[in-house]
Amino acid sequence: MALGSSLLIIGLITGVYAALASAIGSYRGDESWLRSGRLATYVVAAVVGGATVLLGYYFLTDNFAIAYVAQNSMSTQPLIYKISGVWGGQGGSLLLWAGYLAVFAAIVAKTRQKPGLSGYASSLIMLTEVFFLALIIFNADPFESSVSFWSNLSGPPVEGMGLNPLLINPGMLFHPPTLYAGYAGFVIPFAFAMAGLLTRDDDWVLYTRKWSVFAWLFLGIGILVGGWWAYVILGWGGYWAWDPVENGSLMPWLTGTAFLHSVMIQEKRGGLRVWNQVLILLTYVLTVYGVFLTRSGVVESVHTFAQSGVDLYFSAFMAVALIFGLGLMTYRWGYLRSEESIADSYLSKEVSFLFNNLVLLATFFAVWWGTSFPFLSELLIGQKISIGTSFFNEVTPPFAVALLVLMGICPLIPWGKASIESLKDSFTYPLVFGLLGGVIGFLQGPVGALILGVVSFVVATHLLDTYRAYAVVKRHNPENDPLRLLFRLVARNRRRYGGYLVHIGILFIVVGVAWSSAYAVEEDIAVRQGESVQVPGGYTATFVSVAQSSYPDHSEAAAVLDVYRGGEQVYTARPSIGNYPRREIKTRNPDIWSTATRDLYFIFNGVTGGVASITVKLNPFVYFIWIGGYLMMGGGAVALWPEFSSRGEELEKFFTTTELLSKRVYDEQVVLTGKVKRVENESKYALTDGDSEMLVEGGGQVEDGDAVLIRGRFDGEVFHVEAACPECGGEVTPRDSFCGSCGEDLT
Amino acid sequence: MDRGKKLLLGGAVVIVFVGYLMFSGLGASYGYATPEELVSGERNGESLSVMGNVSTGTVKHEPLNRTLRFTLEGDEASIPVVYVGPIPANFGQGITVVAKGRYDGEVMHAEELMVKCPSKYEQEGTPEG
Repeated sequence: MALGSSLLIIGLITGVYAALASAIGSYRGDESWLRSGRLATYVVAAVVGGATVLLGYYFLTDNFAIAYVAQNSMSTQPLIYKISGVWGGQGGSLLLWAGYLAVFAAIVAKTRQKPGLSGYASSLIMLTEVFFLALIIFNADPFESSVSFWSNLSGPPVEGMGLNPLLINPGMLFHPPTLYAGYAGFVIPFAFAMAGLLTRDDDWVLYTRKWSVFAWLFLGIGILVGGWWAYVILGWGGYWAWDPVENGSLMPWLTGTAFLHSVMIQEKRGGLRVWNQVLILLTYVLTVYGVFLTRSGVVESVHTFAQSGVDLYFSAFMAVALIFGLGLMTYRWGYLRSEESIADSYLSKEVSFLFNNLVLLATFFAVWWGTSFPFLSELLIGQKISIGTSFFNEVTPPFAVALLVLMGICPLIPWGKASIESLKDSFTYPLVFGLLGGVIGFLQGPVGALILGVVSFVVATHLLDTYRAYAVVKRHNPENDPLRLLFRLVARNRRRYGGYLVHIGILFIVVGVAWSSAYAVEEDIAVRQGESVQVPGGYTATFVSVAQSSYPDHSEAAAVLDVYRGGEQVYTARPSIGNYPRREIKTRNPDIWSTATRDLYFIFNGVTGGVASITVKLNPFVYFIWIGGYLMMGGGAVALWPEFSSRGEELEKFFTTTELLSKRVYDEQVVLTGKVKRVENESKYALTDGDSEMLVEGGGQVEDGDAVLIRGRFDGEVFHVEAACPECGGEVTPRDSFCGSCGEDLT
Repeated sequence: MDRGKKLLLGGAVVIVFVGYLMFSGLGASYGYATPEELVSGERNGESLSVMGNVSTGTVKHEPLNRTLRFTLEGDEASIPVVYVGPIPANFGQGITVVAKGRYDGEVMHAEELMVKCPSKYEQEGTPEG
């Protein structure tokens, strides 16, 4: 048997053992089983990672005795496409997925948290790994030999067939690796969430914070790179076609986005447990569904759903995951429901997060509905009906606008309850700013007015919130350099400002998508050699010649067009048609003249009787989409940057007065939330959550009805406010959301 | 608002939402049909999605009006297809495609033309021995 296949089988068997050993160790609380499970996990990472590297080595050494290499590479292929050939087909891309997950599993094992939690989580991660390894071994083994794959060959082929020409693009070097890192990454928070249920432990939220951000970010970047690839290579002038495969990656991203936000509420306030479990379960199943859609093409097929073994295999796995997850939730219902106290008022951060979740989920549901309509209609009315792209284009934009509005509200609205005054105080300027943006956008049209209005509003709330925090810091450190203070503010609150930067990235993407969908201009031109014609954007194009060139496996015919503006040549476009005779495929390679504000997109349709047919598309602001992607990456890097703070990663739990009284948490620093009642003097008042009250001493000025959040200790009778920042010890008042000395986020 | 009212309101929102999705979904929907069914003439004028293979030697492309003509082959019947627009990547002879549009009794007028997903990844043919 081939070395690679043997490695995979060793990985499969060891993976089963690792899953069992880790589960037994967690169940019995037995460290020797847990240790054994961890060792087995390392072995899986070594062999599966090794197999992935080995496949890469076969590609680099042109080992065409391996069928997968012969299918996706050839000796003349440039080095980078030999590397990307590894994930150019089914077996290799699944192996990449499994390789990622195996390495993630090893990282989880290495940074073991609580034994029970980590053990169960490792076990579930390994079960997922085993599922994919079995799929690779039995259905898409990338190490199968050429002689056994092509029965008519007597020996290894002398030359490979080369990578599919559509995958010859730098985008393909990055798209599958980033996307699959995201898909595999979401397995970790899922596994910890389930482990949290099994052990009744909320700490899973804390351990998976970075994993969730990591998975979400890579999934998002992967989707964007995929869009960029489609835009520069597929040659129809767009970047998103609501193809089932694309939707398959968008759906877990939407539910993952919802999870990322709602899990913050569980972290801060202990609520939304059920909701978070449902979201992460859904995200996990959807990542598997995404891989399934990519790999089976089942949606566009007119055949019935369960026709091949792979379809059945995937469906069974997803069903088992859903039943397991929902069953476990039912089993632990008492624990899940024990702490439901999220919103004091509709005007609160909690509720704006909740609405953000509902809208994201509704968007997911609409996309799922459209994508899965062929199955659904067959199931319900016995007739397969598919849905065209116009459905998605009609349904999704209103949700996007609603999400943006919520994105704008969120940073400035406080936890607990917002007073009308504070709302006026916070939102007057952003609304004015939004109105101004709307007026400017109206110069372009109604879509422009709506989008630019909302986007300006969101930018303003983010800037205002950042400015307020900065002002507090500045007041306490007037002598310091402003840039240094700002840097310190961001460094101490990485998740917050990383998140804000991601938001700004999303805004760029929204502007790019809205403008290029609503205000693109497309024109077909027919032009003889030497003739000039008007093209969109106020340019003139002269058709110079057709340039032929030939390559080992294909030939290319490019239409050379000189582009002029006001008599001056500004660009030469060379859109081309590639001809791959062995595959009977023609590719249309567009030429894109890209600037920050607009792309001029040339497609060469062909020449008949000396007349060239060219499609020219003016796509405004497409570049903003890619800028948005870079900003998202930057924001993600800020949020994921390792913390070196002394405070560490302990989970800070918010308490209500009732909780603190009933749990008897004495003499331990905690955060207490509630409403101020009966202010006796500057530093003595009662705090209530509606059911019980508690006497509070110390802290700064408060007024009746204030919603506050205070740190301190409860001695059994009185809650003593420790008016100190937990980070630097600086002075803070209950009303501050930031520490004035170091900028620490106090909310 | 008490719990009952909240549930009622939530339920109403969900129903309206699903209704809206169904309604707009149907407006953009395509039924599935085989080339055999089209040839029988029973589904003329319907919005349909038809899958088949592009017959070898039938592809004609008129670049000047961006029109693509080819014959779509099913198991037992074939139909001519006309499509105006950008040619999908990977389109070629013998490839499985899905055409979405209307059949007028003679010709399928495709509004959308899709190359079936797996062929994006799967390589066909045999390398040189």
